[in-house]
Amino acid sequence: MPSPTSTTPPFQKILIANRGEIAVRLLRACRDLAIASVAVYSDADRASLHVLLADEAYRLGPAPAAESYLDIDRVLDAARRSGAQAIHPGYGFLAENPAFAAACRDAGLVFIGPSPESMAALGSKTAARRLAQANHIPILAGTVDAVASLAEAQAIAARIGFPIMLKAAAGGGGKGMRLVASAAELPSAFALAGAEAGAAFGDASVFLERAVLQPRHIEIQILGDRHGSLVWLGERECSVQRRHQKIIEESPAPRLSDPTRAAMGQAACAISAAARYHNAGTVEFLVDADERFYFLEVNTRLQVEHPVTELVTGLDLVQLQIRIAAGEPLPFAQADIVRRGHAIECRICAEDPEQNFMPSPGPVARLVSPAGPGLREDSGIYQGWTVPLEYDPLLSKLIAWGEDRPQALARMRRALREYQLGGLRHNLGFFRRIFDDPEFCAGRTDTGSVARLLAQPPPPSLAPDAAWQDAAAVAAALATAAALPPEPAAAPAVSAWQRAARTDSLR
Amino acid sequence: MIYEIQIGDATRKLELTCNAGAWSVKLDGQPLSTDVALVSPGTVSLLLAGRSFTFAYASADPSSVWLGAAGHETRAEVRDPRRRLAQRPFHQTGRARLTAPMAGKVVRLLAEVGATVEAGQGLLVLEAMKMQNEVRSPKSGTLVSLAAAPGAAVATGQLLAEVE
Repeated sequence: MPSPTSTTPPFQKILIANRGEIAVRLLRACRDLAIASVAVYSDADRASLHVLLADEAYRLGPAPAAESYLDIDRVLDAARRSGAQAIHPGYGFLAENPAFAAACRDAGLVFIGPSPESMAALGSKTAARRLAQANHIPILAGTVDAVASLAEAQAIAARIGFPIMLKAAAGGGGKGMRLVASAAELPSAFALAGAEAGAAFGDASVFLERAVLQPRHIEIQILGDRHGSLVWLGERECSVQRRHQKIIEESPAPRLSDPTRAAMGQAACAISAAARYHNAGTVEFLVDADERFYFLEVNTRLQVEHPVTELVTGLDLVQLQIRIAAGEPLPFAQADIVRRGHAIECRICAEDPEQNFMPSPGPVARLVSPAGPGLREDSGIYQGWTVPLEYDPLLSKLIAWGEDRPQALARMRRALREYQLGGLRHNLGFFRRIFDDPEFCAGRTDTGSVARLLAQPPPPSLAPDAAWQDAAAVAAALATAAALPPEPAAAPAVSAWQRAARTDSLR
Repeated sequence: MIYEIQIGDATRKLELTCNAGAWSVKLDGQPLSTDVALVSPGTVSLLLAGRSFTFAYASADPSSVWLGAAGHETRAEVRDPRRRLAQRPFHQTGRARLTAPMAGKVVRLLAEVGATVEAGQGLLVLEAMKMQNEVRSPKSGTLVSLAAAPGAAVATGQLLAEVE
């Protein structure tokens, strides 16, 4: 594939209007392009990794997102103070807010993403469904518009039949989303979905659609420039979810025929072209057991799981986003895109699998990251840092690449074994269990896989053996001995171990 | 030094002695042939019958240690019988204590003190990291206390409600 055409940096300085692992990912792309990076932060994030790694950093405000990362005026003020020419919004926060994209344009800043007009046409799920219908792309039965009241939701649900899915009209990521199995569950689900949508996106409106049982979630990555060129970069299967949030994504999708993949790619390009879309975007589909696909929504931004596509295509999507935003043409055509091998990603989150994946912020007391062939980690954490409770629980993304799916899975299994994370609850153990599951390894997954796996007791083969238990008991005692409080006049050269030994010899 | 190590349901007795910088270990009264090295802060290497175990560890407090090695992790409670660390109180009443499963903010209350509640009924809504979660009653009975108000921040493990 031809390399990017331009050798001069498209901008001198870019402000990254985000936090956590994605802010780190974005500033690394800036550094690769010899562009200065500007971080912004809330009071809860002064010590966050993105602030430490950026070239410049500006405070936005207090910890609540509404007074910091979601405050358009404060973000634009930081851009003015820093002299940045462009803003990358990442995902979440202001990434899919057309008002923010328009405000950037009005302030003379380049928004690295689609135009506010495209965002408005595709960003609201209800508007996108109308556009899909107009372009003959299949959608699921349900409401095209947000429902105004519980009574209206009840009437529509009675018409299309249960089970139904309630979804926030704005935003994604599973927030404001509820599966409703029967009429009795609708009132409380409607209230919770609305409240969650309002809290997360500032817009409490929800719509509902007929739910497909055991569906697969498969999405198409698209990329378009400002000159009308638009390509699709393959698919990602994101069926392994918990609480309606993706936790594992891979490409190519296991068990997807080439004709279906191509038809989905063409549908994704069709709806994007209809919205005059440019920059990176993702078109999400539900695929049923007979490989019929239904349009779900368009994410008008970079996705969390974009590294999966980067590893199979060899492209740097963030660098391409930046070049496209600067007006450069796409340096390749659809026919130039070659996908090679298999990539799979795990979203490592501060959450407790034993407590229904509830978020579990806390200190990163001990961190050992994996390494080796075929591995990439996009992390936002470091040892000694405390994960704040105000934001998303995503800590890090671990991505493995292999010549084929079994090799990619083996490399991920190896990485999950090396990865050590102590001090807070996390889902690494749960990933180890998934990667040991015969159904998952055979590629037989759907959006209910996690729930079915959790309904079974963990297999005994995953439990540590007697020698491990013995060694753990010894290690626990040694760790305690090493953590003895320092002696009043302890010389700096004396280690805790020597102190422990000395204390012992005095007994 | 003699320790009692509790991992899961098992309690092990562990004796550590150090002679000229070398540690020897007795586990449950039996000598354990192992080579021990503190390879870096937070990492201990054990060679046990030829197998290499590299434990990463972190201590939240002197009596609780997190340990991870080779794709497994565990929490160990460590007691030093000679130091007589405070015994943890054990609650054995018919009262179910509902504690916060996560640090977060109370969004709203769904029941009042004195109300009769069913097992699984939502008592309050807790929000953390932008997710709202209903905290449900562990059993049927009377809600005898509710130690949280809307808007209040709560820490993991903090008492939220009691059902009798």
